[in-house]
Amino acid sequence: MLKLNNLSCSFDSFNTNFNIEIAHTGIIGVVGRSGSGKSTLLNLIAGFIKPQSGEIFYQNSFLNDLEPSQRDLSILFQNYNNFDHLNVFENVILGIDPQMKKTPSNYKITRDILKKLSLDIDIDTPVNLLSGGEQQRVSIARCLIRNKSMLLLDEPFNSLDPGLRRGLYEDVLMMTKKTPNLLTLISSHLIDELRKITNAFIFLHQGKIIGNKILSFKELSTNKFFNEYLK
Amino acid sequence: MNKFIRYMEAYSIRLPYILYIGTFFFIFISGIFFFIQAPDNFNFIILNYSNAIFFTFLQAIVATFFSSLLGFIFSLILYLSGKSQRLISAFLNFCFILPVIFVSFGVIFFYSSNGVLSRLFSLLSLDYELKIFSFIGIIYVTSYFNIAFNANFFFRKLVNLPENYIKLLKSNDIPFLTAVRLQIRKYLFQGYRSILILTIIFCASNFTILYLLSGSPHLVTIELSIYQSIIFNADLYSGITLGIIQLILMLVLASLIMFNQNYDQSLNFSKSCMRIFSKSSFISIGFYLILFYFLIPFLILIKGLFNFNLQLVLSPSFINSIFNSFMISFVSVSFAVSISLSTLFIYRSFLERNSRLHKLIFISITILLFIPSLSLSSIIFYLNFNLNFILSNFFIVSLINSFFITPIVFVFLSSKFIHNYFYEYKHCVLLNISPMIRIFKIDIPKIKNELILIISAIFVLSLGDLTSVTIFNDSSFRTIPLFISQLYNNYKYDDAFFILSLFIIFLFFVMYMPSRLLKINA
Amino acid sequence: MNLKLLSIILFLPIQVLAKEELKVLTYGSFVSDWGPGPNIEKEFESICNCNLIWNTAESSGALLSRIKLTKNNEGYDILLGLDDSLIKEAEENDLFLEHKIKEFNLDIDWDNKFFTPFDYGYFSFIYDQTKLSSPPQSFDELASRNDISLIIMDPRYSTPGLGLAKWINQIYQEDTVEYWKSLQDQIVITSKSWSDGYGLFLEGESDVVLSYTTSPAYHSLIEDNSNYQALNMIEGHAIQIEVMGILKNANNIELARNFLEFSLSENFQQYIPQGNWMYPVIDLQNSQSDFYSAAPKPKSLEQIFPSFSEKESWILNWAASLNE
Repeated sequence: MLKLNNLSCSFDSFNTNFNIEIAHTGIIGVVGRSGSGKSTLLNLIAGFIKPQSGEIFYQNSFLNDLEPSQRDLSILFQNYNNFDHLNVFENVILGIDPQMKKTPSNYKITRDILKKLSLDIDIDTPVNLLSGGEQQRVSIARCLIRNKSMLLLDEPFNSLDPGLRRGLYEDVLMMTKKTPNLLTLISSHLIDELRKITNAFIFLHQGKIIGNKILSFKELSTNKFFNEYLK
Repeated sequence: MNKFIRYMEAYSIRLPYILYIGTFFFIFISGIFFFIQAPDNFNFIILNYSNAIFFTFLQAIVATFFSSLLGFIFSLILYLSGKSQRLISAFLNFCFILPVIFVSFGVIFFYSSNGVLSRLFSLLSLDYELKIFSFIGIIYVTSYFNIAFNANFFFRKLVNLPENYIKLLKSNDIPFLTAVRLQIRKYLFQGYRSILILTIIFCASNFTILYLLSGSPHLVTIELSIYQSIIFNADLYSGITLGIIQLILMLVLASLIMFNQNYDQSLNFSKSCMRIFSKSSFISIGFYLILFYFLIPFLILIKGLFNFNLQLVLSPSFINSIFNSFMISFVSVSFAVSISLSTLFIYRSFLERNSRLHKLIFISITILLFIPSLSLSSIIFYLNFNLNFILSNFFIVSLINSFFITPIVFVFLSSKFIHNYFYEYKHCVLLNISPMIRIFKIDIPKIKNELILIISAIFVLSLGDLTSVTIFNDSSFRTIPLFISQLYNNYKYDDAFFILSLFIIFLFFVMYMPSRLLKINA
Repeated sequence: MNLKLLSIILFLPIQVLAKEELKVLTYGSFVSDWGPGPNIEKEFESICNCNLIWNTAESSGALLSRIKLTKNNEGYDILLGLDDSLIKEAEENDLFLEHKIKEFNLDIDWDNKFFTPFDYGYFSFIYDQTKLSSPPQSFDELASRNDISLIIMDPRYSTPGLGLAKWINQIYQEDTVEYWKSLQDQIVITSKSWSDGYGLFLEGESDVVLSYTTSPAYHSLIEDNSNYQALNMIEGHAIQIEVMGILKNANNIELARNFLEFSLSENFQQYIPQGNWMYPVIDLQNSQSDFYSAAPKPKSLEQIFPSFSEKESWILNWAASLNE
């Protein structure tokens, strides 16, 4: 269970105050206008932004005091999810072995995970030679081998074209289904695409979670701000 | 425990910088003490040096003007020539780091009143009036290096011109030169201010060129006055005071122009063979003229190699001086690279924490560019004297060399090193990557190409450096430049030219090998 | 086993075998492969059972400055390579010990309690006789021949440069500035060092270059080229005497005195003519006749040992002629 309790931080004139309890697992879409605080929310959970007040609990542990690496989660951003100059193998294995040792077992782990994502590429290729979609898959592969129970995706595929996006959303769906108890928070402003993989949403408006709970699309549709946003 | 190891790792990476800054302040404070202890009869009359101060800045500004202007024009012609970009850039780099003594002799060989050009003139029965031992000669040689430096900057900019700019120009039928004047000027001059400041610094700290080419006693720079006060008049006080004057004037000049660290040295040569604009014959002629201009000093190689002397090459003292030169360069480069990487690491960690202290770090390294190396040498010399010569001259020369090249390495590597630092930082924190692993397994591979390039360049630079050796002249470690000057002092001019030629060919290989290496890896 | 005993046993042989060291500071070309240094080292080490260690400063002009700055904390025993124009200044600064050599039996007059001479030469102008057919024979003629171009050295940086300032001063006395002015138009290059200026002359940059009467000997004996000749001035030629002295703080005064005595013997002096290209201070006409005939001695002007201010006045006279 993920619980945010009066979680607040402010930059310049922007203030947030997040309150929610997420008891279920699976995919949750985080939606809202740009500037509504989607990225801030995910970065707060991941630990990249320190809250000014409030608490974050996840599975009975108090996250505020933990470093990002100590939290049971992975995060991906819109871009720069890989080290461009490193190859596929190194970028994937980095998730569990920062030394990137070229051992047979490390190679095997990497190959297996790439196979799962049906990525048919030479694992010694530098990632900057891959296509945008392949690059994001490599970073997903890294998240997979880390085997964390929460996955945060901060507008992960928005820079890709629609066909590729669809494929990657399917990957995320598959991954979440195959891994019981995985909680995936995925932020996007492309709500139609999110609807294809989930019907659980958090809607953000001016730094607050509307309703302080998870809403279905139907429930969302009744919200005044949401309808304004759709327009 | 884990935390402790990490802490230690972070500190050991910071250590070279800490040692550097410690040394820096130690030298700085002892400099102050030195002045407190100045004898009563020490009186520094600035008027005596007004000529030197004036001339330093006059020649610096004139040379900077020509270097920027011609550098810009040359880069356009080189770009439009459509020749191999990699080769052109490497060549310009090489010209920039050639030993001053080589270019000076090359220019004398070609332009002097009995040189190649004057003989050509007399063949055509024309009068030859050019006087190379004059202000013109000084400006010519000073500009040679800085034209290469400026041209390389603009050339890289042009090469990295975004493809959509070119498409835009083509689709709107805008001639390239018009576009340079109107649309892309802003892009080309982005980050130029740092280059401009560096050019002025290089021109103002002119020593060897003046020494060899001034010809007239009137042409004296501050560096030359420092040299005279220290080496001949045993007057460290005046030497250091002059150094401080130069430092202050340079800093004032630099702050007028303002440093910004956008010194983009990325190496993305355009792979698409997009024929940008049709080549005119004017461009071709221009290209070969530029090539010829840069090759003029190399004509002296013909003369040098003509005097081939195997016995000299095999002599123990020559081999010994090669070895010593290598050792000094190796140690200097190691110092410079470790200080630079350490500084970059700290610099970036301040950026990551959104702290303004990163500016202080930047200044603490780049200030070295402004300090006249002879003054620095003399303070260190004085310090060592007070420490009863605890430091060997070998160590001091390496230290001074590395102080001189460290800011160059730092500035050169900084943009690539901190590229994407914000995202990289997040991933490293999330994946729990330790500082040591980050620097060795992630950062160094990332800047590998730039690192190899700059190492070979500074290696060549410190191989050819004479200035610090001048003060800490020590026959126990004779270097190649010193070996050449000894030949010179013993009437052996032909042999000196021969060794100089060998030396340049050798430097060429030192520069060339890494670029081969990079090509293979690319 | 007793640690003290062990260490004595271990270090004793080294102590016994360790040779004494004589540290000599000199200028670079003296100890280069082509200078007299290496041979002199061999000769001296064969008789002294010691190690002769050379170290160098930038040029002869820089030697005294270095010692003034360091007060010889670097621990050299001997400074080799000062010239007569710096002797007074060196004495005034109280940096040297007396040599205690009673009697000099030399080719030149010598009487100084701190320094012993090791070679000498006469300043002169060198020309290429294939290019300059009627060489001037006096300073007046040199200045009146506007077709003759000159390379000289800056007296602030170079000993030959200072030597010329002395030379002109000796001849023209209070008319020195006037003479310098009459010469200025012919000076095409004032180089910072002798080697740069001489090199440029060989490249054909001028008709005449300031150097020594011994320079032609190098070209004729080593390069078999007798085209280069020295001007023979009827006014006479200024002399330069190079000396050495024992430094205060010397570690090994006894050995240093031995070296000074050795320097006045043939074993040392034989390497001067064709090593340093100067005249030896003892007469070696018999053994080195080639050298003497290639470098005949000119008419000599009087030796002078200027004080610091006298030396400065020579430079000022030269500088005054520039301001025009």
